[in-house]
Amino acid sequence: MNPPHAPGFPSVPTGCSDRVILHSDLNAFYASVEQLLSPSLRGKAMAVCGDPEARHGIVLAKSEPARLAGIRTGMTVWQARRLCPGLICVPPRFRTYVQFSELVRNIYGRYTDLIEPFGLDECWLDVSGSVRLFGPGYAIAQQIRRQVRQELGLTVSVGISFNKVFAKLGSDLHKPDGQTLITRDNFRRIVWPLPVDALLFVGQSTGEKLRRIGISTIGALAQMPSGTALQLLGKGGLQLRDYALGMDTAPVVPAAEFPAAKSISRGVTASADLLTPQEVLSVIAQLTQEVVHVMYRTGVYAAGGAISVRHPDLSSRDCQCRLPLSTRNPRTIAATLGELYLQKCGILPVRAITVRVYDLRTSRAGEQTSLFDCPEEESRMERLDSAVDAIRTRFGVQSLLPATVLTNTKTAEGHRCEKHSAVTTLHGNYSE
Amino acid sequence: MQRRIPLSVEAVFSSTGMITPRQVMFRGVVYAIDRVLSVRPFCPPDIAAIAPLRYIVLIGGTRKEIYYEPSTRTWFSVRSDGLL
Ligand SMILES: [Mg+2]
Repeated sequence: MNPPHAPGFPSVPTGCSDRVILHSDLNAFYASVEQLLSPSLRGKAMAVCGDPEARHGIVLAKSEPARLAGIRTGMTVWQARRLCPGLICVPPRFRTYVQFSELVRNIYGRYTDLIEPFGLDECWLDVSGSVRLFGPGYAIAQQIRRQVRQELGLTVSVGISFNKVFAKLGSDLHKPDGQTLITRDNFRRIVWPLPVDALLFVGQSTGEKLRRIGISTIGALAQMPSGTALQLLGKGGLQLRDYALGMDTAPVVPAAEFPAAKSISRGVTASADLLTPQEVLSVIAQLTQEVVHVMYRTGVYAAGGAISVRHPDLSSRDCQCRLPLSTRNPRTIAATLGELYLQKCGILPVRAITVRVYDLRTSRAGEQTSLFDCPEEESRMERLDSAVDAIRTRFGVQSLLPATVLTNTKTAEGHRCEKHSAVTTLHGNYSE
Repeated sequence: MQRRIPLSVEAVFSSTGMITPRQVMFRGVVYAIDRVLSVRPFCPPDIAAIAPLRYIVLIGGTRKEIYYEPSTRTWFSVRSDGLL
């Protein structure tokens, strides 16, 4: 006999059914977009390279024939050309990639609003609430793959699992245009034989530490005694072991606003100390030009700006402020940051300056413009700036500069000054 | 090899944002569109386009496919022989 149904308690226990998480990864994303938009590149060994003319430019993405020739992401153009003499290198078009990234996310959005981007080309989707409507996770993955392929001409690989870590791992297993289901029943068979660094968050050095004590597969990591895990890797070690056991309860957190980059910075150490406020302001203007160039390439506006200055005694000062509107107008940004410098950190002499913008957004929609702003003038300037940017994309940032920064001999290209730059994303830094 | 053949199109924009092509101008000839049979996002293989919409239409009793690319606001057809 069934026990009587207790009032206030559901007869079917809730919270026990597993989540359905997908991880969808666009295959060779930048390279695929370039091949889509230039059919003559299709089927050829090609790579998208940062600064392809420069020896130090690096491979950002490569086509399948290039991969077969041994080209790897992160190689320098010079190394890549040595491996594959016929390699076609094309420069990146970040705005177009952002555009496609949004189009793909629109397709995901047909199945769930719980979409967590991981870079431009990867997303986690929690479709637990959608399976009654669209079928099981595996069927949703098939629909997504078909729609991305037919509507956009790109391919995605999808992992389907009960947690984010295994879903991510599954999306790596069948490329391109494949999908892998990892369940509580099959994960020991599918996941455990894989090399330990196939697991998310197992980086190179962790992987090496584990291999040194004989743990080379995810299965071995799963069966590692907790004492050893703790001793070898600290608390993070226990966490990794839990992941290997399928114990990952992290939720899919939708990103409210799109941009992958959190901040963009450009800095310079001058070849000689900057002695006057004018010199400092002029260098701020110069660095702002370079930051704005990256903003155009990534298609973002910034609502916050910051500068940090270092003095010859190595003391330094940072200050930040809101920008009047989210903007990528280099004059607005340079003027605001110049003001900030004069008010908050105007100590001389200055040895190094970094300009940073943060609080990045892809659109200015829904923004309250101030009473005294002139939108027509602003959009006219934006057209001018985007024309300037197009020239810089072709001929380099230094090809076109405002006259005010031409006097910056202490930070000019080719002088004994050191430049550094970074784009910080939600998932770490990459230097440009 | 398929190619993208640019078209001039006369279309009606509804208050809800629907775009309905009414006639196509190609090589100086105007072709009236009798009916739009279907509209859906579809990128024809081997064609350079960003998320185009495929309109299957009836022109003079024959089914034709024409495409609209929202990002460039251009219409095109896809034929290897260059004919509509
Ligand atoms: Mg990818």
